Amino acid sequence: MSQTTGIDVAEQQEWKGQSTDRKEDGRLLRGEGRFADDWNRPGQLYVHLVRSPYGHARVRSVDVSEAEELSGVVTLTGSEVREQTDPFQQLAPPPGGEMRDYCLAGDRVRFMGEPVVAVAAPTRRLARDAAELVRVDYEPLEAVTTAEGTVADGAPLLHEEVGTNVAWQRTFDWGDIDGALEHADHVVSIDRLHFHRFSSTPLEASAALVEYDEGGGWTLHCNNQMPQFAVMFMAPALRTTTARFRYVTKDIGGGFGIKITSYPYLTILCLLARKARRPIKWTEWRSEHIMGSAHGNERTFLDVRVPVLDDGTILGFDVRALDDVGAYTRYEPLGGVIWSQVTPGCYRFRNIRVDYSTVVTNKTPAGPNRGYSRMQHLWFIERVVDIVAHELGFDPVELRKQNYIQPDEFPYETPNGCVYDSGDYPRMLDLALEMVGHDDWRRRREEARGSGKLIGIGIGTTLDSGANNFGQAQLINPHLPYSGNGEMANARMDLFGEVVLTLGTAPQGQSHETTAAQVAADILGVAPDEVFVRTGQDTGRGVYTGFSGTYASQFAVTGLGAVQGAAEALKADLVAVAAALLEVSEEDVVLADGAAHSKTDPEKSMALGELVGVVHTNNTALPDDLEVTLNRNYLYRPPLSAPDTESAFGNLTLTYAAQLHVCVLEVDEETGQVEILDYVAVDDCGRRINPMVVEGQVHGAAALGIGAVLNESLVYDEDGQLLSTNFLDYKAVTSVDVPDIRMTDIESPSPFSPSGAKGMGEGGGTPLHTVTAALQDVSAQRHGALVTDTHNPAETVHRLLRTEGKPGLQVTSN
Amino acid sequence: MSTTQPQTSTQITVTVDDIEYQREVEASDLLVHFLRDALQLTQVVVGCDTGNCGACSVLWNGRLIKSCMMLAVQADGAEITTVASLAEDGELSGLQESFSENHALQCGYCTPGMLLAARSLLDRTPEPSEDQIRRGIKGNICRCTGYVNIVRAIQAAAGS
Amino acid sequence: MRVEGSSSVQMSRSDLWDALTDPAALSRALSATVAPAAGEGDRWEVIIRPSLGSLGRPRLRATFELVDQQPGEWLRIRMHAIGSENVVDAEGEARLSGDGQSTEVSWEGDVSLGGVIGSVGQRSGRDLVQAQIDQVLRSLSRAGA
Repeated sequence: MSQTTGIDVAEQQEWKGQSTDRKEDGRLLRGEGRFADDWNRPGQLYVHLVRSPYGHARVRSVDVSEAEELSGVVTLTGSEVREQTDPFQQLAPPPGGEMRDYCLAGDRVRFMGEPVVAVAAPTRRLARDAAELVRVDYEPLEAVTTAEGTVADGAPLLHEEVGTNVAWQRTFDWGDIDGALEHADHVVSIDRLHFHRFSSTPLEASAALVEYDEGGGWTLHCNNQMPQFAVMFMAPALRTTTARFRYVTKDIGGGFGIKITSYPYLTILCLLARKARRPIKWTEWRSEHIMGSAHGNERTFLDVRVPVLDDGTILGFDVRALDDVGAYTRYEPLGGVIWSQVTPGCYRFRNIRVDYSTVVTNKTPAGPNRGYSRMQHLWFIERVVDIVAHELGFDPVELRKQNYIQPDEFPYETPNGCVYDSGDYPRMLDLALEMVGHDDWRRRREEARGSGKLIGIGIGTTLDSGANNFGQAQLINPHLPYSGNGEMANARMDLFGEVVLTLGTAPQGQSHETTAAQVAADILGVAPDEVFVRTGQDTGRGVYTGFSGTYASQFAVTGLGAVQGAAEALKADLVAVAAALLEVSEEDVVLADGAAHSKTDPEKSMALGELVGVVHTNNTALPDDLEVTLNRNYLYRPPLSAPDTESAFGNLTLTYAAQLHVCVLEVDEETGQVEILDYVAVDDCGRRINPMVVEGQVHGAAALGIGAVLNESLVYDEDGQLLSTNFLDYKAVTSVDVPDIRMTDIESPSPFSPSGAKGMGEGGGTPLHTVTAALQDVSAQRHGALVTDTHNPAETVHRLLRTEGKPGLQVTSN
Repeated sequence: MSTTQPQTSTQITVTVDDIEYQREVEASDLLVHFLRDALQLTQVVVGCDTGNCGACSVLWNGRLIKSCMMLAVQADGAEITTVASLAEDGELSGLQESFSENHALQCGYCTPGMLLAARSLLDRTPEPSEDQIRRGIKGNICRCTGYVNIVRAIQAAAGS
Repeated sequence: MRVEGSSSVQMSRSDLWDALTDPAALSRALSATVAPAAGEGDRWEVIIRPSLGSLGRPRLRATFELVDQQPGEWLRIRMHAIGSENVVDAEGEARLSGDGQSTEVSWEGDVSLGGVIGSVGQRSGRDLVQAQIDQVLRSLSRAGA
């Protein structure tokens, strides 16, 4: 493509694919990040919330009179909320859709930590003191805290208007599972598998500063990571329009999905700001965050049946899943379809039936948590494959390879119509085994027997599906007006020729400034250092669409797709101006080294600063018929279509990144204590924009997964008391709990995304699959009891090694 | 009727990042709230309120402490160092550069405390082993990086 | 959570009985009390701020009820304390014995901690409750001496 003279385009350095320095680091390393609690306004009032100490109780009375006697105190009660707002919209159809959810409790509290009264005061201390003067008279009610318990006859009913504790149910049936079970050589049956409740608990809790202006509405400086989702709930509840809300986010101290569902709290603040006519400042305490924000979905898999042929071919599975989403549905029951993005996991299973129920219990409401809904399902599948290998005498490596979707089958259509774009799972497994030294560890595993330590090797294969199709919401409720996905970006030239990008996302550490600059730099012929990137949402001034935010492993596709489109549009403007000013054809113009050049005449070139100055401040020099703005928006829309709601068939995400981990661990037979001896990860997220950033995401997701398996669990007692409300009891992993994670990559470019990149970041919960498989390998050296839970602290492993027989497992062979 | 706790205020003099401040503080004010609210030094952040996460770490007369575990009155006469003092003549220190080069930060919320923990470790142990690094920063929680690149960054900074 | 224990108090049995059944004396003896007892007879209310380590000193409105008694011999007390995010329920029996200047007290009861302090309860709740009882008895002892 290079021309006879002038600039050689092919020689230009490409910034995509390089581990360029992060643009975010400069301020963050100096402690100059701007986080949500850093915003202040003169005259602000601080909020303290009175929260239910009970898991389930009737609220007999609320008395705020004593609190309001303190000077400057303003309160908000559940009865005021019911006068001033409508219930939040529900995504589910009836019966779950009948649920009435408000930002403060009314005559019932349904989980420990549910906010009952909000108190605002001129100082933090006074707000807390005043909150302690609020009198709430509770009458404790019987609580239900397990999925199986809440669907049992006689269980206490959480929401009378719903009439059942099953908020949503659907049976998905693809292929012919009954036929497969009938004709299989073996059927492996597992009574129960359980994915436990945990949270990625970002280090920065939720916080917001909310101001109210009678004419303009509310301005919310906050750390919600998906403000457009929030506003769709808040505006109708507050009986107003979306344009009356301006959300501003800047640096966000981690989110992991947990900061998506903060809208009930933001609604409380909006009501207080309007009532007090003062700026309202709220910052969660850690204990409030753990008991009152959101937890990951807890899922119980029952009555699992797996048809298998003699040669090891697994034909599919049949399962009943109970998804415990806590006291209110909020983002749910979306989890009820989001798992179906990865229905067969990485495998060629063609016959799958899932009877899925979203159930409510007296626990904190669930919200999307890193790996949302897919990791629960993928863990289940990996557990099934691993158990089948152990029980039918197959090598776990060979059985996986045999059942994986093969590299020549991509694009691969799953039984429910999802189209996996690209990948090579057998090669990832080979790479991981070679990297970890599999043969060596197998030998050492045998040598260790009898030493008091048992060595286990585990494999976990997972998918990180990204750029999801919101049309899947119609599988929940055909009346929901959602489908597709998208993101918005703006690219413009500033007065002296600087490139400025504005994104609609709300990043929490995902390096959007860095990677957006790389993409734009390549298109506009400048260095990433010369690109200014405005991140964080500002719906008052910035660009956004209804899907905007940072969630669900999609920025590399939707966010950078928007940047690419906006930068190309801006380039078209620049080329048009350059062609006019240099008096050459547009085809002859190339942008490189911060200037516009003629490809054919090396004498003709103009620095971007000069060129842009003509448009911005010297425009009489422009031809009359040249219409340019140098300020271009682009809405990226992934090529998706709505799924068929009847058959639940259709493509639910655009890209399918994959990860494969291998873990070697050692168990102390005496104590059940687990030590990870080696841990490797192979990542395939297609074309990598910035390898360093990709690796950082893999590390982070891996550590949170390892934490969940061995350390972190949100445990309730039978009264609905959460037993771990702070970092003393909720054992967030530290540097001594996670091993070094060694990793390598392959790149299977996506044929569907703008740059070949795939969304990534959630990581698909891989360590949960991997570590439980390694523990199964340890158990196989004793009595072979099944690893049935995602959470395996030492006491569980201790019990596993001492369980005789294989309770909960049946194998029948024809 | 007011039943708020009786407060006793005291004047303290404290030096933070080489600037001396004199302020009235209540007996029960935590140092972290004093730094953030009274002095508006937002580089000191709150992560847990129970002394477990290390986000609010500062150096107190050169010693690493968690500022949520200390009362403001105890800081009377003390020299407090925050992350703002790590840069030298406006330039990032070698340790900070190493954090950037090794991608040892993502959201950046734990970073001020983590840098101070690393600084404190390297002052005590200039050539730490991986194990010493991991034990040295175990009081500082990071939810983004899995600690992998933090350990590498500290190793690299120690080597340089 | 079950708590039980016994202690020797330097008071005559009748003086101790009077103190244990006098809301004002009992609330004075409870170091966590921040507002005097209100109510009389068999049911009274005090505001307490027990010290809970890193959780600070949450304010609790505690209602005590004398549910049964055998004067001079034993009494059964029920307590319900509630704050902005915490709740404590307790019911227990104290038995007095001995003659002269010293009285033996033995107690047993059930305590449940809910809300934020519940998670502390599983770790150190029994110690906290035990410490409060010891402290009250020591304080009564001193007042009586």
